[in-house]
Amino acid sequence: MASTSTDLRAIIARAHEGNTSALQELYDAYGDPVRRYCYVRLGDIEAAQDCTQEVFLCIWKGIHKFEFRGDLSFTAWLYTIANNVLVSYVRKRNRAQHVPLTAELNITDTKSLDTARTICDRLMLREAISRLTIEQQQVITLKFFVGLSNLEIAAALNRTEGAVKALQHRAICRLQNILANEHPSIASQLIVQEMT
Amino acid sequence: VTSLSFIEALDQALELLEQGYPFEYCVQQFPEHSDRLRPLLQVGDDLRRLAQAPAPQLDPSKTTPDWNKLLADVPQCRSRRSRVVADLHSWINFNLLPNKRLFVGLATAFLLIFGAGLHGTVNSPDNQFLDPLNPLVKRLQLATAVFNPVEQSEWHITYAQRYLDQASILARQTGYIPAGVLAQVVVEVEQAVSTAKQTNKQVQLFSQISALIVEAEDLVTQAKVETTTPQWKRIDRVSAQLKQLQNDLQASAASSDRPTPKLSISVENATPTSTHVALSIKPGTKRESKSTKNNDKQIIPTNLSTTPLETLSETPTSLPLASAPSSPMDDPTIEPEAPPTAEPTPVPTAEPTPVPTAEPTPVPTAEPTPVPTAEPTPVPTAEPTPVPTAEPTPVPTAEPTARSANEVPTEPPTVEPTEESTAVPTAEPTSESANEVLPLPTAQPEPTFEPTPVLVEPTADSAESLSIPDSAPAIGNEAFAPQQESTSIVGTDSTVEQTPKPENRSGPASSAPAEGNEQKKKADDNAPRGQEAAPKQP
Repeated sequence: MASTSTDLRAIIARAHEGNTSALQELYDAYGDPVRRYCYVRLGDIEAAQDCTQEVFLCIWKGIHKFEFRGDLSFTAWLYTIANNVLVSYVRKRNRAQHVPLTAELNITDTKSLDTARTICDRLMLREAISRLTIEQQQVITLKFFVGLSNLEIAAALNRTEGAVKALQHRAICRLQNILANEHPSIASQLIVQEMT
Repeated sequence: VTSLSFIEALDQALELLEQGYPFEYCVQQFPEHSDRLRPLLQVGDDLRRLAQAPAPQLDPSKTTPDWNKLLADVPQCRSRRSRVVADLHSWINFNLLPNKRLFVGLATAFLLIFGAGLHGTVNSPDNQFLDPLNPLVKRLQLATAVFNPVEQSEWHITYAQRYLDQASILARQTGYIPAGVLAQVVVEVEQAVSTAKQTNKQVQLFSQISALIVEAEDLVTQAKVETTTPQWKRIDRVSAQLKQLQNDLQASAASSDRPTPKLSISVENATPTSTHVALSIKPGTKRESKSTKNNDKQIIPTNLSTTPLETLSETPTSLPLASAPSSPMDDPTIEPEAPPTAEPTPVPTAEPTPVPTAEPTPVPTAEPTPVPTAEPTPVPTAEPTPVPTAEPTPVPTAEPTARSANEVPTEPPTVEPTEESTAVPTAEPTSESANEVLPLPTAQPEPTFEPTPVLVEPTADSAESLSIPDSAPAIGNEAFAPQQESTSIVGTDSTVEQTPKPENRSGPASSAPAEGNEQKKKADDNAPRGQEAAPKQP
């Protein structure tokens, strides 16, 4: 991310002038979190990369209409565009949100000792997340995978901070129910292992 | 409250977990929710660890796109926006201070409100909310035409028409017209007349004003209105004044030898009566279109004028002989015209005076009134002589061929028409009303010369064998029937005027060339065949 608010303001000012290097700087600063966000939502790293590029192209096209009012405003605008791009992408592909096994294997942390547990854990979570509502998916993704604060999420979703907390609570409750009802053995095992 | 506190506790516990605190420590921070918090916090921890896992790596060439290539198409769109929208946006944002923005907003709102109010004022009926502003708008509009009397007069005519429209709307809706509206009409008409006097377009303006007066009078007769008001009484005075002005104008026009060109026009249009109507329709585009709503009179004359025009134009050019036989049906129709041809000269003289009195009110109000007076007189003078010649009633027969001859060409006893023509004129025109036909003969003169010889030959051969003359007049009557019906609405004006024509024709007929005598002879020859007109012609 851009280190300071002044840096981001300068980058956006140069983007207003049509300087393509500003776009590259924005991509360097926000490309990874956006790609991660897209990947968590889509489950396909290739599609996530395509969507990430599309997000930054949309940013470039609409940067002249963007009025910088701080980092939060840009972050909210960025993930609003990312969400729109993802929605349109999903519509075009008309594909279900399932995670191919090959891609999921790539997620695994090879350095971890309990690889199998991680794989099962992530598979279950991926599947459970895909069954949440769109807003709940957005909150969970932005909160845990992108690392935004509640305030930033509220700005991105055009909600209040309290509403974001409520969405987060309902999303976690539902995830817990899904894991407990459909994968009780794995879930309980995971909980026991975690406890020990 | 408890639920909210639990939501807050979960959020704070997740924050602690995110900061790296142990799982149990985070749970113990909220002992009152530990039971419910533990499973949810576990899911949150799984999500955190899942997110911390390294994302799958892509080929660096894919993760570093070539923006120059991707943006190849984008700059064009962007340049357009930056030049138009972005510039305007930036100008509004940076060049307009808050106070200026407020001023611009207020000015825009004022302009919109003022424009809407002005528009509503102009079209506001009497006694409505915006009506008091009407005088102001009128003054502004008239002020723009201070140095142009024509425009001023047109403005007054427009105002009068507007009040008249309001009156007609009120009459339709309530059946009652407020006297104030009619008073406004009168005032505007008076001002229009006064300003029109100062212009060189008096003919057009007077015709429009007269049409307005006629329309107002018609409206008054159809709806309940306080006609006894002093303002409304002035309408008669204005109308009389207008007529006087029109007469003076016509007289001056006649004295300046203008009639000759007008005569030519009237001849083209055909009968004097029809020309009278046609002219009334020509000028008053706006006026007449509205007046036609109520008056069938105007429509009728138009038909009359048009029919003869076509026949006239064709007949002279085409062969009278051939055409005559082809359409006996039409011949009779035309035949009646022949007699009028002789009469026209007197008729116009007599008509002009009556016409204005009778018709002026309905149709001619616009412009016709002036025209007819001037034209009718000249028309007969100029062509009357040819008209009798035109009598070649046969000629008209030829014309019909153009129209209906196609339909009845089988019958075309070429010879018969000639006979019929001679006989017919005597029969119908004199008796019923060749009124409208009168003009037709004017155009027909030329054919008359040819038909005469033709008639001589056919009469002997085919005319007798076919004995068409008997039926011919009947057909002719039928053909005229619609015209007469139509004219009946127009008014008695046309009929009254026309009736005298045949009588007057005797005068001009006597002065007509020898061809007229020949026709009379032919009529005499045809008389025994049952033509009723035969005895009347002499």
